[in-house]
Amino acid sequence: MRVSELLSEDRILLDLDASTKEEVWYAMASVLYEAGVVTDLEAYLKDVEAREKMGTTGVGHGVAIPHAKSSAVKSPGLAMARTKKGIDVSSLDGSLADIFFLIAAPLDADKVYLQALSKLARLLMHDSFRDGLRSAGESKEILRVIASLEEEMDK
Amino acid sequence: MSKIVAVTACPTGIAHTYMAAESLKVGAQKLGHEIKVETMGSSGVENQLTEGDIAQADIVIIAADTNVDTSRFAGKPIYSTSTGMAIKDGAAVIKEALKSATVTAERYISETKEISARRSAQRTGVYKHLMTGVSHIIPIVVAGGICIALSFAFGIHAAEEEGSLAAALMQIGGGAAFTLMVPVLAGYIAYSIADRPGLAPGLIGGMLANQIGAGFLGGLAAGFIAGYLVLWLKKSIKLPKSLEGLMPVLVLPLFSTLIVGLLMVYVIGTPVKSAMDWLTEGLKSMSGANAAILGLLLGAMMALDMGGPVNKAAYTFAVGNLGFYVIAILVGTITTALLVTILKPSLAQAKTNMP
Repeated sequence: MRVSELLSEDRILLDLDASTKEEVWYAMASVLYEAGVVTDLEAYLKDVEAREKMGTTGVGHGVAIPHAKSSAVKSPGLAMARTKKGIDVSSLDGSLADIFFLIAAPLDADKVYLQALSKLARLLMHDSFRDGLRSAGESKEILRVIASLEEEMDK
Repeated sequence: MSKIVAVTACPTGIAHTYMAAESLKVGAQKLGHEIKVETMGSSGVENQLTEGDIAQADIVIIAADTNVDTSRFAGKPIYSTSTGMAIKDGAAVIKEALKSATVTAERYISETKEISARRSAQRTGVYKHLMTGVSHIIPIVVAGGICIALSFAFGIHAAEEEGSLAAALMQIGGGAAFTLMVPVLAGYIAYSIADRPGLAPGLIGGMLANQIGAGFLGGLAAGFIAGYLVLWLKKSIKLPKSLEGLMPVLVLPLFSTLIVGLLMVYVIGTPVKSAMDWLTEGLKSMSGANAAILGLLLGAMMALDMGGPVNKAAYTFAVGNLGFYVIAILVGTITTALLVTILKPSLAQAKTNMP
């Protein structure tokens, strides 16, 4: 399964106006809630919070990937946000995050889906990928960036 | 250029594991090193390091937030860090690792490991399975054998008196331990071939070998048949995904046991039993006037592969004729000891000449 298949235009929030990471989480989780991926918004956010407490998901390079395996998730889903300004997510490298990927996984998430997510995680480690996400003008372009780099990686 | 192997792992196994892996790869590329990264994520182990990979590696990097078993890296310089550090700057972690990775185990341990790894690499296929089986019965044989010997210490017929300590010891050694020997042998041969699902048909087949008097040879046959049968069944039985859970608990054990069991009873049992009887008779007939030759033969069988299958065949015979065995085993050991003492200087020479 491809990352670009897990994400869709309506799950990408560009130029999000937020000042705390909780606000960003809420905005992204709401999108997944409306899409029917998350069945209980509050419960899901609680699980994300709990995961965050185990160690920051601010992975540095201005990227954060809040995620949780949760009983409040019906099917696997992904949402992305790009914020107007950098947000403190207690990053590993101290950087402020402006790129967020929220990952929702059901408790019994299957392997295919997990592999797609692991690919996303790998992509994020490449400068060219992050630059692409930052310079994209619209949601469509984000999807294109993901698809093209994904293809390159599969080679 | 250095060769690096790495393992990454994190508690959820969804993201950090893979980011750390990728970051290390990117870093290694930048610095011009060769790297292979094994990821232990929630979709299982991917890109698994082989023994060869590890052997060739100059250093090992563990970037994990969970406990990673490092026993397979014994003797290699290991550098441990968190996934966070690896994600933050893969190149920096690699630089630091190359500078300060340390060998945790003492050197001689690693040397021994290397030797045994080399040996186990040679022991492939049938011989390896056989040795897995044999190595699992050794403790049983030792415990049981000594119990029997202790029983004899009360007098050679002491065990015949019911309720005595000698009888109890005989029951422990002869009744329980030696009854287990063949089933366990067969069970672990099958286990070695087919992993856990092999154990049930192997054990049961081995027990049948006991019951129909096919003994050690029957156990060997049962173990190998059970192991390869399970492998084959695993490959050829295709169940719908919803029923896959039944494979290890019902389908594999039932069918493999049925097939092995029926084969043992109707097909293999009789010829193997006669072969075993022939072997025993042959050896026994020598035990009168030719006792010395028998002793030599048994001793030679024991020493031939020092604990291997030939040794054990001789052993099973000798179990019923305990005295021979004890002497034969002593022959091997004492001879070795003498040789080592006498030849010590030249052995040391030989050792350094070994590749």
